[in-house]
Amino acid sequence: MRARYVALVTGAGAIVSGLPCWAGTTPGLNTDGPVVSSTSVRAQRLLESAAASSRTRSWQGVQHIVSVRDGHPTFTVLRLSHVPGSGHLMTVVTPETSDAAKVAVDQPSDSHMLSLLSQHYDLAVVGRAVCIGRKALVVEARRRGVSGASAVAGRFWLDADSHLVLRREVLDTAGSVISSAAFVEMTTGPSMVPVAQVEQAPVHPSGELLSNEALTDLEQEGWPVPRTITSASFDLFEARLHDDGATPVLQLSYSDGLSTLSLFVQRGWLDGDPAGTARSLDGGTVWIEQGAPERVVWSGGEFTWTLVSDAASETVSEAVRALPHRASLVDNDGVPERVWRGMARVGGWLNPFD
Amino acid sequence: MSAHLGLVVTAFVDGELDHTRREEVLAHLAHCDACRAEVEGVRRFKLALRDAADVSAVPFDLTARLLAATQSTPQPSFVGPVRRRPSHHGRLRRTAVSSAFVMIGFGGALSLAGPPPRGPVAPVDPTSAQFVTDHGATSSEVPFTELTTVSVSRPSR
Repeated sequence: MRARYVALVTGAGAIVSGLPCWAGTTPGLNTDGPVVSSTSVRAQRLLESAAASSRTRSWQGVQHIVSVRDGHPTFTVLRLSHVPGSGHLMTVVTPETSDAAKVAVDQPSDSHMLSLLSQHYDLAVVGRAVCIGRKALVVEARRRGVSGASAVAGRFWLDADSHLVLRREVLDTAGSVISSAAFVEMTTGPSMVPVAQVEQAPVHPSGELLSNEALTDLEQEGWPVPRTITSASFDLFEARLHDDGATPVLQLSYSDGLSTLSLFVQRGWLDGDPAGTARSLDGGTVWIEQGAPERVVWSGGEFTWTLVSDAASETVSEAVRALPHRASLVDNDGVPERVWRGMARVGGWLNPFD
Repeated sequence: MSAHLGLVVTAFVDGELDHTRREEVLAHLAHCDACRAEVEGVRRFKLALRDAADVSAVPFDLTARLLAATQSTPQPSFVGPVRRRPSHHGRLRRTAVSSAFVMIGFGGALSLAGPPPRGPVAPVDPTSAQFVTDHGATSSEVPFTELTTVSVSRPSR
């Protein structure tokens, strides 16, 4: 039922996006089979070239994005343009919003970020396709040790001429598309949208960027800083401390090269039920807000955790399970402290005014 | 909650658990007879202690009875009362009884300690839209990531 629904949604997305890529050119359906060398080195170089092109070339286009979470699709239409040295200019066409009409976004180049994909997945050039009238090469990111349709975690359609990414899909382990971003129009060349039209300052991550030494210091102060989560497939690539007041919030960002998980950690406990649907998870309770991105809130250990992610729901659940998500039933302090606490408690019971 | 409540029982009886943990404990008690009995036992013990220390339970005529007893007591002579030196056997018995009380108090305090007190309630609303904005801004650093979340408005934290 769910697969049928997702197929319907994906089909709807394809219709909405004007069939940007030819039907039948999906690599698994290509009867001609792979006609391009499938070495991972070539795939890696193509993706590096794609990342470089998106920064060094002038281009503009309209992108349709479909995200599916728990069977519910979210549609977004963006008008994007890029001028080398000026970053991306993004206009949200759908849904209509009044406060985010045009936003400049910087996507810095970082070789470490590019290598995340090849660290976690096997890359391969698997075929040719035609997207929005352009010849494209199809690159797949495959899960290691998995065969069949569930092996494919991500697919990229790269313009054969400019190497720009024309379409990108992320799939869950059931082989269903959970996220699709496809250009339905794209032109390369000088931007038609003057950069002066930017209505908001470029979006940069807020908070203080933490070094490894600062993270180690925080760990010694009792803050949890897991370096990897979800069976070590998501690596910590950035940590920030939001300390704009009396309440520090530690933001830990993880990625496998395809999706991102942001973990916000606060000292203290939830007071009352937060928004979202309460679900039981291994003896604890978490509150889930579906959407793109998905948000999960819970108390565990001595902290309140908020996980925001565009990854598959199964990945999010795995991440929550890997983190403290319930109060410890056994205290781990010493015997003298426990005796003192117990005596204080009995003293409190004896006190008629307590 | 598959395990028994253990040390959480006393914190529950004293109303020290936060909303989430209280709900979890109540859910556990709904199907666990052993923990329900333990909670009831701690409640009874707490009430018994309160009753034992209750000043209102002192008999109202205690003062009059004490005064009457004092008046009927013979005046002390100049020769003090002869104090019997406790036998070796008696000292041993008293030491054993005292040790037993210490051990009982020690063990009782250990078992009644409950979990350590937790930190304060998280003062930042964890459902803040700011978290989604921060996530979007950081996600844009990952190559090829969709830029949709960046478009979220930026409320103050």
